[in-house]
Formats: sequence, structure tokens, C-alpha cells
Amino acid sequence: MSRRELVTFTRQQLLALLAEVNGILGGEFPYEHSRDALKELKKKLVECGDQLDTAERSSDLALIESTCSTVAEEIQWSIGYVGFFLRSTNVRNAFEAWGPLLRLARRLLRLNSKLVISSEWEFSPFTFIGLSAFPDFVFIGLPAPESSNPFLLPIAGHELGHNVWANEKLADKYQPVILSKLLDGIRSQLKDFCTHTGLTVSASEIATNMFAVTEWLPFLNYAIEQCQEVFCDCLGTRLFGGSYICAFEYLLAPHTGGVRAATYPSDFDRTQTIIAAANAYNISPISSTFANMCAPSPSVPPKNRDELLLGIADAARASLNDELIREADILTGKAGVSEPNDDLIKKCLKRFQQISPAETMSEISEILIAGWLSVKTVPFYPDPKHEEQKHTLISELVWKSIEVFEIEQRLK
Amino acid sequence: MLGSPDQTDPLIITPCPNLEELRKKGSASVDLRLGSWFAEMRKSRASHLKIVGDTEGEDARFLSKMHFIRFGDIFVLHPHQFILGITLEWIRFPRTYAGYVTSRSSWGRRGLVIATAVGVHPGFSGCLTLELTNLGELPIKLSPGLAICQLFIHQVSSDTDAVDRSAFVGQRKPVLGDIGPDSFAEKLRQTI
Repeated sequence: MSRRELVTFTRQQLLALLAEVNGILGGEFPYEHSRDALKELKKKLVECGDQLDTAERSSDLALIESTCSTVAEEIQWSIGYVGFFLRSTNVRNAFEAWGPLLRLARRLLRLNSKLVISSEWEFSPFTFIGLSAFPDFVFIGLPAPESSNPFLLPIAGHELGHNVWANEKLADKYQPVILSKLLDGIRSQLKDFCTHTGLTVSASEIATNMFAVTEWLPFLNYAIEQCQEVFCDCLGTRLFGGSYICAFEYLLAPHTGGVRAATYPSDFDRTQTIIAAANAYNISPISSTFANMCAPSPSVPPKNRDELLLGIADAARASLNDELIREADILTGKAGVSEPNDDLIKKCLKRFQQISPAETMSEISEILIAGWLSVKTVPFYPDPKHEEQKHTLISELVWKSIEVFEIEQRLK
Repeated sequence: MLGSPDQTDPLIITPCPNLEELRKKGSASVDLRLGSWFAEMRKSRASHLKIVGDTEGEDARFLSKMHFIRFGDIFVLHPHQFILGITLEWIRFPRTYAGYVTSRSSWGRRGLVIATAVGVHPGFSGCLTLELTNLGELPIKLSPGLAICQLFIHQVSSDTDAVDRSAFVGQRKPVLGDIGPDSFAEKLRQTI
């Protein structure tokens, strides 16, 4: 491929994506933040075009190739976001959630935070969109087939947790103690470490030996990422109480194990930490089956370096569970988010039984908890026809209650 | 909650209207506001709508396009345009109350009709679907939150078990719904 063709093809791909973005910008947006995020993305793509123009005028082939490669990566990276922003406009979403969640985000983060709620066709409770390119934005993605299922809304608490983690620079705060725990763990299993890595290092050299560092450094990052996930689960539990636990259980079910990602604690560890957080926050888990939904992994000697170091990273993360539970509580309290009020939950439940939405709730968590309690209470309605339609009825009541909550906030 | 003689089966309007204002006005009706969801027919897709007994025609449920208009935004209803809207308020009727919804006269005089099927049955619970048509000469800007119709409520003279169990109970968005089977019409259709 000639230099001219390389630039032409790259530019054509860029222009095609820009045309798509401009088309979407001309459409209907239920709220402006989706459009704002798309405009931010468009600016980056236009800058890519400028970079291509500059490179094209150069005679340096290496520069041209590297610029085209960078622009191509930017295009690939952007496509996922364009899809996310486009899906945020689809009426399958329940837009009533946007106002209350935005208020919550602004209390936890910054007053100028913006929020985009969308849906993902390849949803996994174990992924989230990276947010470094959009520092003022919070992105919440729900599973596309269920993006109007209010019972899943509490997982927004986990997503908000990622933004809080970044905003408060908690990775920097916890990195030294995680590193210390990881190194202590390696020192306590030094013989196995040397066996599995083929290195000969002493306990005092573990932190400084270049070859040893290369071995354990990725697992330090895994431990830090795991701590972030634990923190997000704690924040979700603190914000949404038992409804977070029920939503989490729903998403993990049916639990069939599967390959575990090293950046996440095991499912068993996650569920146990959530229960510990619920106990610390005096929250009733609502679900009686959550504690037993995952079995611990059998304890076997590690067969290789990865298993050894992952086990040590897990232990380092686990030693910080209590601290992370406290951190989530402190930050939520600082933001003025009150714990779910039991009396208001009961009041909301009574309204749902009357097939009427709730009013004068203090947080949307009360509505979501009442929603889950309604679903789990059988029978809930005396009329069999209403009991048959219960899930649909309660969904509508929860969304309407959330809308009424937002109206009350605006009228204050 | 507005209450009723039977507090176990209350009349509830959510958000609750300003009762003090209602009393001061001495009005016989409660103003209701426009909600955020609208359903528009995709006209170009069908030659006619299917009704019971019709083997041709399109199922209306698959022909409507939903719109969400946020507070502060507008939906322009052009002359002769028909769209389904919804009330902002969720109404819960006890079995001893029924009602009907009509346009507010200020809007009616400008050509806006808000309902063709105006009755609300005892036991109904949900947002009221509004059949919005502009019979005037000029486009009308609609905005969620606008006070757009009025609800008259009356007591049912005999307490029955006739609670509304229609498909429209518990809806927060406009719903086209089904036209149910009609055995009377079906018998008339049969050839001798």
C-alpha cells in the first residue's frame, strides 16, 4: 500500500464515522448529556482529521504510518462509544431514572457531572466503559433487553462507584498498602515464588529485583482493580441497600462459575463482601438465597506462577475489605446521601399494594427496595389477576414513583 | 392521597394536586397535566388498522412509535394530527368512584381535543391515556407538565365488584391496547 493510499483509506474511515456521528447528533435526545458526550467525541475525531492532514504533508513515512495507526485505533475505540450514545436515545430505556441518578452523581462527584444512561447488547456485570476520555461524565449501561427493568437500576450504584474511585483518587491512596500486603504475601511464600518463576531472590530483594518486579507487578494492578470492584459493590450496597443485593443476585443467576477475570474478586468473595458490607451498614439483604449462591473455590496448592500470585493478590485485597466498606460509607455520608429509611419503605410498599406510586420518599433507594420486597412477597395482591401481572405492575409503579420523586425535587 | 369514605380503598392522585387551590377555586373538577410519553402512528406502514374479525389490516400495536419528551421540551401538534399522550398524574379510583376526563375549555377553544374515550371506570389505577387531536388551524406546542385536561369524579350509586380489570390498569405510557372479542358483532357478520 502506498503512502497516499494509507492516508486516503484512514481518512475515509474517519469521515464515515464522522458522518454517522453527525447523523446521530441530528436525532432526538431525551436529555442533552448524551448529545454533549457525542460532541466531545466528535471533537476528538476532528482532531484526528487534522493530524492526518499534518502527516500527509510530511515526507516522513514512519510519521505517516504511526499517525494512521493512531487514528485507526481512535476510530475503533470511538465506535463502541458512538453505539453507547446512540442506544442512550432509544425509547427502550426508562428515561425517568436520569434526573434522580444525575442528582445522586452530583452529590457523590462534582456539581458539573454529566450522566449518560444507555444499554449494552454485550452486557456483563463485569465490565464498564473506561471513563478517562470523558472525565466529567458518568456512564451507566444496563443490559439492552432489560434496560427498562427498574429492578436492575441499583447496579448503577456500582457504576457510580468507579467514578467515585477515580474522583477521590483511591487507587493512589490504597496502592502503597496493597503493595506492602502483596510483597508480604510473596515473602511468606518465597520458596514457591522462586520455584514457579525460576528466579533466585531473597525476601529483601523482592521489592527491588528487576526480574522479580516484572513477575509480580501485573498482580499488583490486579489487586488494585479488585479493590476498586469491592469498593464499587460496597458503594452500591450503601446507596441502594437490599435492592443492590437483589439486583446483583439476579444478574449473576444462574451461577454456573466460568472463567474468572483476575481484575475481579471471585464471585464467592464478592458475595461475601457484599454481605459483610450490608451487615456493617445495618441493611437487611432481603434475599435469603444470596449468601449461598456461590461456592468457594476448592483450596488447592497453586500449580503455576499465575495461580500463586493471583492467590496472593486476592489475599492482599481481602485484607482491605473492612477498610473499603468504611470508605464507601464515609464518602456516601459526606455526600449527604441518607441510608434507606425503613418507615418510608413501608409507606412505599403500602402504596404499591394499593396499585399507586409512592410520594415524598427521601431517596430513590426506598422505592427500589420496596419494589424488590413487593416482587419477593407472594402473594402481594389479593386480586389474582393483579398477582399474575405483578411484575409488570410493580415495574410501572417503581418508574412512576421515581418520576414523582424527580418532580418533587424540582418543585422544592 | 385524597381519601374516600373507605380509607382501605382510597382515591389517590399522584402527584397530589394542590388541595388548597382546588378549594379556593370552588372547581368541580381536578386539573391534570401532560406526561412525557407520546405514541405516534407510523402512517406510511399500513393501509388500514385491523379490528376483530378482520383478516387483513395491520396490528396497531406494532405501528406506533414512542416518543419521550423531557420537561422543558416541546412536542408540536399540527392541525389534524392525532397522537396518544398520557397524564402526568397516576389516578387510583376506589370501586365506589368513577369519572370522566375532558379538555380544559381554554385548550378546547384553540382546537385541542384531549380525549375521545373519556370514561374512567371504578377501580381504575394508572395514568390516563389522552387521545390528542388538533382540530384548530394553527400548530399547538405541547410540553410535559402543562395543565391540559380536567377530571370530573363522581360516586357510584351502588357498591359493586365491578372493578376495572382492563389491560390499561397500571400503565405509565400511552397504550393502544387490543380491541377485545365482540360476540354480538361476530354473530351479525356470519352469513345466513
